Amino acid sequence: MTRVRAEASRIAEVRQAARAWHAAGAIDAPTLTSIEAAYPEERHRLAAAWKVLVFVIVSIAANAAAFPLVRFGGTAENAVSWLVIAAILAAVTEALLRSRRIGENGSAAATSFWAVVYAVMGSAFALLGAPERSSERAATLALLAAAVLFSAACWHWGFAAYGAFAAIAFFFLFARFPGGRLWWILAGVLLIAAAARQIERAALAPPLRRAWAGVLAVAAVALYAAFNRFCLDRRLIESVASPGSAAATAPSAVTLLVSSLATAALPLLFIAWGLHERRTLVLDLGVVLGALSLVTLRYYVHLAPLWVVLLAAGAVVILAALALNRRLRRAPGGEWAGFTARPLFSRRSVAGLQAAAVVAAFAPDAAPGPDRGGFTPGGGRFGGGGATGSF
Amino acid sequence: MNPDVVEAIGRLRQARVLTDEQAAPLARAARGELVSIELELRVLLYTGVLLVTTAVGLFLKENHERIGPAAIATLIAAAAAACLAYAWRRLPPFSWQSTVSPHLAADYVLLLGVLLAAADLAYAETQFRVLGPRWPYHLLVVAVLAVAAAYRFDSRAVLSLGLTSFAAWRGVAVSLSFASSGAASEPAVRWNALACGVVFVGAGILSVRTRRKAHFEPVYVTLGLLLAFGGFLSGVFDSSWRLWAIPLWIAAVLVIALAYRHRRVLDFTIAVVAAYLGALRVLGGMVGRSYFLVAVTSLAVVAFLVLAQRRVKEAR
Repeated sequence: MTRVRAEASRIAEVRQAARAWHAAGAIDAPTLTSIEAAYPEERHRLAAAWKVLVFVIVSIAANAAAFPLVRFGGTAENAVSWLVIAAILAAVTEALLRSRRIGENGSAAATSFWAVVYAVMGSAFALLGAPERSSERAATLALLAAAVLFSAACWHWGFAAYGAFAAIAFFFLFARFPGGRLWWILAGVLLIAAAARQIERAALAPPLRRAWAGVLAVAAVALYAAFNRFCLDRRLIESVASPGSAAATAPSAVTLLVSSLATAALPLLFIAWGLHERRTLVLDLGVVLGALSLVTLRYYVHLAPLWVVLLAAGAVVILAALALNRRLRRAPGGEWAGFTARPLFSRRSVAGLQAAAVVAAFAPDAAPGPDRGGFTPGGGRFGGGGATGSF
Repeated sequence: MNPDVVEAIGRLRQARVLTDEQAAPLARAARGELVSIELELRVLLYTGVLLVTTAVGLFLKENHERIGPAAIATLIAAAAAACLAYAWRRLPPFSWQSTVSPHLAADYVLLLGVLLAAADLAYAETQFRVLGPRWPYHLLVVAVLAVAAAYRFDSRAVLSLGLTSFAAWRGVAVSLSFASSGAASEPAVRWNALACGVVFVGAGILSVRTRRKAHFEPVYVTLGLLLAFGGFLSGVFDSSWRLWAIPLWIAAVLVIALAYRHRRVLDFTIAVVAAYLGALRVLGGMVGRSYFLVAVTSLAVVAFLVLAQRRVKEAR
């Protein structure tokens, strides 16, 4: 990431925080203006929704322009065509990021993403075209290329999501080798330890700190998957390995016991860590992994019908949230152990998201038109959010 | 912790841009000494509602023969009534203006109550067939109840549920299936989508003009635009695309101009996407598969978006 872009991203961070302070009523409009004057933005930035839109449209444009080039190169397996397109898109990314007028609008993110994807495809096809023509080797090389290229792209261009993509590719690459599960545990622990230090390192630009946050999340999920009892029983990690390298032997009783204990303990460890360090990312990961552990438990232990389990889980979740909210609200100053239920100065607006979530999960099915049979006795649909059923 | 913001607060305090009283709480939050978990609590409550409604759906499916429809309907009605009573007690009294709920959970309990009532109505209609062949009217009843609850309790989430139920009564599902199902291409459904869209946008404008629940306007207008442009696009992607392309673009230009004037990013985006999809379809219909034209059109749309955003910023 160039020094100019890194500095611009730090300024953007301060300006965003200042707007959040103003929205929360912590500072007045003249103070906001003074802060924005002290931290002037030189690069044009679009709203997040527009960035996503620009990313999608530029992706369509880039692929529409690239497809004739692939066809021009002969067969789709022609590695040179893919690599040439990747090089062109990388050059376009460089040019876009040098421009202060259009560099941060999502277009460079799209061209850089497709540059990496095309380079990965080119690498895979290059190996497929080699004399031994091994699709397994090509898959391994594609994962290696994805891991290395996304890491390099993240470091060089500063797009945070690439850190998570690189970590995902690295873990799948490790799974290709014998002892993949052990590699996942080792790499998971090391990456979590490294990411935890980097996330708050002042020397790193904000996008790179966010990239490390993505790495931490991926590593935590990978570590959990390596220990999870269901993943172990189903040999899910080993199924990614090259044929012949997967361990054929069943796990020992000790391994199964450790797996069961770790499935229960890991989420609690993450929650404890998140509470101790006051890191919402780690806390959220702990809660999500805890939910996965409960699903795993339900898979092996049938205490009650599914609807009873869901009802009990829903009630516990609601009551726990209510109790926590009440505890925080009634604490002196609305704070308890460094946590608060007040929105503080966060710009994480929920009003629009709430309505969108309700539409996504609970919008009812359409009534059939009269020309499609009208009322059909003996059956109907009800519910929402996955509760839809018929009777 | 956000080191850049921590450093900036120190500098701003030295430069007297921020007073000590202003800077202290901001620095605490930036250093991570005080962390908000409001969003986490909301997600937990939403997940709880989702789990409970899913459980009720499964319960109905598995037990309606064993327990009997009357008992089940009564049980769910009682649960819905309890939720609504809780919301009635906890949420502020009715006002035409926006009200601030002092209870984080009350909004979600209200949503749960309305969802349970809707499920109960659907179940009762299926079992007792009160409306007979006119059974889709139960969706209208749900829509009326949800909109009434939304106005009484000032809930945008419940309003969106009411509006989607109204659209469902007219045969339009406000979901991804609208675009993918064959039903969307039926002319009657298309016209219903357009009519619902116009009604919703009209309701949004009315709420602002009369200053009655003006903050509901974004819900009305966004859902209305999605339905209206969905209707136009279903026509454009049909065999009769020539008939629908011009009305689509006229509507898109109108919305783009108004959204630009009023600085409405989401509405602007919806209209641009609709016009872009329409343009791709028309180009495909006129000149066949031309990757070059797709690329050029896409880049033109991006250029338009960037210019529009820049103008908006300059105008500020």
